[in-house]
Amino acid sequence: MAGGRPPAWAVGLLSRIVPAAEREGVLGDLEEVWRSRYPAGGLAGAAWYGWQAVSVCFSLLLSFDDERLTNHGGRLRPSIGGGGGFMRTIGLDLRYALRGLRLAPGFTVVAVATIALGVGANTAVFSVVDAVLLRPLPFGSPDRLAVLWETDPDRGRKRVSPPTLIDWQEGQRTLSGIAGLTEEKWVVTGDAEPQVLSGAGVTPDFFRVLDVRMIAGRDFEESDDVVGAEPVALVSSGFAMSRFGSVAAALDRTVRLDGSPVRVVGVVPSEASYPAHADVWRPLTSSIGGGGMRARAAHILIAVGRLRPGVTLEQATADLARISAGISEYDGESAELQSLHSWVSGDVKTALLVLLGAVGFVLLMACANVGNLFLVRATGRTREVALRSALGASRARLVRQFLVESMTLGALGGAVGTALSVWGVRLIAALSPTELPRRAEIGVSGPMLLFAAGVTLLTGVLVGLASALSGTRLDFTGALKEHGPASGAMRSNRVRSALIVAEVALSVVLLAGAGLMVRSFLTITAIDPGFEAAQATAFRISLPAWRYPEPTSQTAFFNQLLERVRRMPGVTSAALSSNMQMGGSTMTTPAKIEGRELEGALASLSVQVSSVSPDYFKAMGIRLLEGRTFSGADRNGSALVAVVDSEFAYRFFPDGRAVGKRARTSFGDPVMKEIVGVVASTRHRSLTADAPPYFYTPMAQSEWGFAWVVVRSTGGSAGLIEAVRAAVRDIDPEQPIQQVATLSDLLARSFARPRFQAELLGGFAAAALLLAALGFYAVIANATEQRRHEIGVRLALGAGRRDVLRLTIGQAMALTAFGLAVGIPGALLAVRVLTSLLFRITPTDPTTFVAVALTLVAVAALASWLPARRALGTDPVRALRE
Amino acid sequence: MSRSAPGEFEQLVLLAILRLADRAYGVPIVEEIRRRTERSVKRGAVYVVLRRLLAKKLVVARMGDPTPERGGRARRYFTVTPAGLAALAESRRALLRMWDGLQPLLDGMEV
Repeated sequence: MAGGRPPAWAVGLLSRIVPAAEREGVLGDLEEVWRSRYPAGGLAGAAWYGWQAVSVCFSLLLSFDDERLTNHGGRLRPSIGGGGGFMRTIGLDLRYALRGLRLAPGFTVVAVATIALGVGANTAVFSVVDAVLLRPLPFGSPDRLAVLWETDPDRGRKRVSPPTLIDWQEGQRTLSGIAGLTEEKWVVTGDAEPQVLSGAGVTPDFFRVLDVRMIAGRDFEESDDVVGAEPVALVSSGFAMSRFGSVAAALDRTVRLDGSPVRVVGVVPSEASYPAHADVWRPLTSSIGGGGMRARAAHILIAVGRLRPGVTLEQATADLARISAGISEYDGESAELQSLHSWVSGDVKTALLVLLGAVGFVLLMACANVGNLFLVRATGRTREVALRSALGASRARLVRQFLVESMTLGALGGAVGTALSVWGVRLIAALSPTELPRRAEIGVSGPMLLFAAGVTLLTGVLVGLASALSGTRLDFTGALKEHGPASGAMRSNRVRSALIVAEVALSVVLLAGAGLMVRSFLTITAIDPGFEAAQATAFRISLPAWRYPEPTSQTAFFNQLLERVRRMPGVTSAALSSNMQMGGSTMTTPAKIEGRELEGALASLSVQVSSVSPDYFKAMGIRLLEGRTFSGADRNGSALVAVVDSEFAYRFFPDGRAVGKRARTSFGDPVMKEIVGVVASTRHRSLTADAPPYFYTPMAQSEWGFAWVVVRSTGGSAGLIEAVRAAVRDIDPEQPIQQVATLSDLLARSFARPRFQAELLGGFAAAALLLAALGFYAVIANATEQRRHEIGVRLALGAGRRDVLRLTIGQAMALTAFGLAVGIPGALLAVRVLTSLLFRITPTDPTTFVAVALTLVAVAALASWLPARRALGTDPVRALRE
Repeated sequence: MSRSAPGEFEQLVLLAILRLADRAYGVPIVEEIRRRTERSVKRGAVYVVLRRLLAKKLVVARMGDPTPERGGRARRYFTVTPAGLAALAESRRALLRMWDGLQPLLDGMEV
């Protein structure tokens, strides 16, 4: 007997597919033929058997129930009467649908592309929403974690002071743990390049409260957090890998933080880093000192707590408020809790949900467009549908066939769209502002793909259902006649017109939203910051106290640096400041005016204080309005002077001159200083925050520890940055530069988020316009085609260009008008959600809405122009004959 | 024509079974149709038709003896039932009646 056996996989496949009654016969037949043809077995035999097995299974699964005999090039297909199983009819529909799509490549390409656009955009935005808003934080039971605030009636929320934290820890009953942290930056020196690291000083139970386990070494203990304990630290796994090569290698190593040696005792998994980019943690006492731990007025801690099981935020809030009321020296001091998740997500929730809504609109429009295309196709197949119905196909059967078609299309479009979204997610992540919370977690994920599949399914069903229900409602006798127009065509037209009106309405909402965001963004960029941002670069250099203990040594460093910088080619001015505009730090205190008792708001008005070198205003491009700026004469020992800005002058001296008057702040010497000049007002925190009053003092007359070096030059910033780095290295090789940025970059951070929102929303609006234009074109073209006869008659009867144009473009205008009538009221309601995101623009801004309406009218006119021209070219004689 | 009247391919399968008499199982049925009609036939299609014919009771099946060439499996033999024969005859009659008088059309063609 011949060797071997047929391939096991093929036998297994057949065993599974072939019904039990036939199994023995079929399997036996195949093996018999196999043995007779391939007595030696071999690869060819295995291939043959495998192919036969697949072919037989295929036939059995998709056996036809079609009445017709089809004869393709000699191959007989069986004509089998009677209905088959459910699987068989779906299989038939699937083959039929695929063939139909293959035979209509134009339609298929447009439909697949449109669906891909809708699915891709939605999936990409959803993945961002998922990462930033939905995904739980990487801690144990993250929904039980809360951020704790102190509050007072004046200033609202404040950070927690260490003594209050201890009082809360001791007196509370609703939390299983409370921890506190201060954000810190340390300079790491030692065996490698000096590096600036973000980190935090934390209470010893911090990671236990978060329920984060160390991946190596140990966590902090109570004994680490006392004055005089051995200096220890925890590092992130990312830092351990990059600095020491591996997580294990970091344990017990010594690093120098700001010069002091600390021993690494544990490694924190990088994904569970809190605060977000922290790499180093130290016990709180070593950070803020024993005195800091006792200062009730120092609101410096971010406090985190874990709720006991079953306890609500409200209960915990009441608990802590009770303790605060008991210990507080002031009236009204209290406590507030917020879920950690909502604090981390910050205020981006609104913006992201708006984006998700917008992109959902785009998907609806895509569905409407594809639905339209389907209806066109359906009316083109009225005869075929009528025939099938006459031959006994039930309505349900026909609807099912339409659905299979639309879902096949949906599946194809969904697959392409999902692939697009993978690329789209990366694009969005790259465009997003760096302060977007949890930005590093944005990427392709399981939930995202699930979402894509769900959206695809929904699209397929929506599109198919709409066209199926209308497409199968045809009057069949009319369709079966040779040339009669199906009255169903009119019904189909109405559905299509309704779809276009819906598209216009959706477009209005999208365009209005995008228009408002763009205008808001442009308004922000048009704000005058008060200084010259172009051609200026800023460097932040923080001299550690342990290496520069005397003010004179710090002065010496900076004087040396300034001298070198001023000699560099292209530099027009260089200066120092302790608190630069847009620099990220705020030093504010109330002011006092000589000879006047300030009352009310003026008494507690926060004034920005800054110590600057004489050239500062020149380097920053801040205009002098009155009097003079600082000079070399204003130094230690000479009369104390100050310069204020116009906002300060306006607030404190509304009726007269500020120059010559005397004032001081609670910062530095409690000695009145003479105001010698008034400069232009500047923005400080960001472009959108109001300009605060400024009080400048000469650097030579104040104490300062860290400084911004501002350099104005004519050349490019890259060369300048390198040169300044080299100069600093020359003066002190172990001194890093904490931050380098051009003033333009710092400004740009102010509008990073509005720009991102405007870009995304603008992109969606553009997609919506494109879809609307395509939709218009399709509807008008088809309507014109159907009315050829009528147009021919009119032309023959002497109608002019204008009349025909009225028919086509007029129809488009009518649909647009309907769409606007529906869309504008809807948009006026919908854009209210944007209120918090807009700057100095009301959501109901009339200019924007007018622009939107005009844009849509123009798009509709343009899109219907081509069919209109074709209608004009109608040959009346031919049209009449048809 | 009634709904259960065999279609063209079904008739070919029935005729093949009749020709093969008591040797009518899967392998020779396919061979016979291929040989006589000179067209390519999908094996799976034949099995589908056999199942349908069984359902319509135009054929019956019985199992033979297992043989080693079939991996120890038995053959499944088919026989046309009287109903099947009657259906075939009716189809033939109908076809011949339709052809009546049309033979001259076939002159000059290879039949």
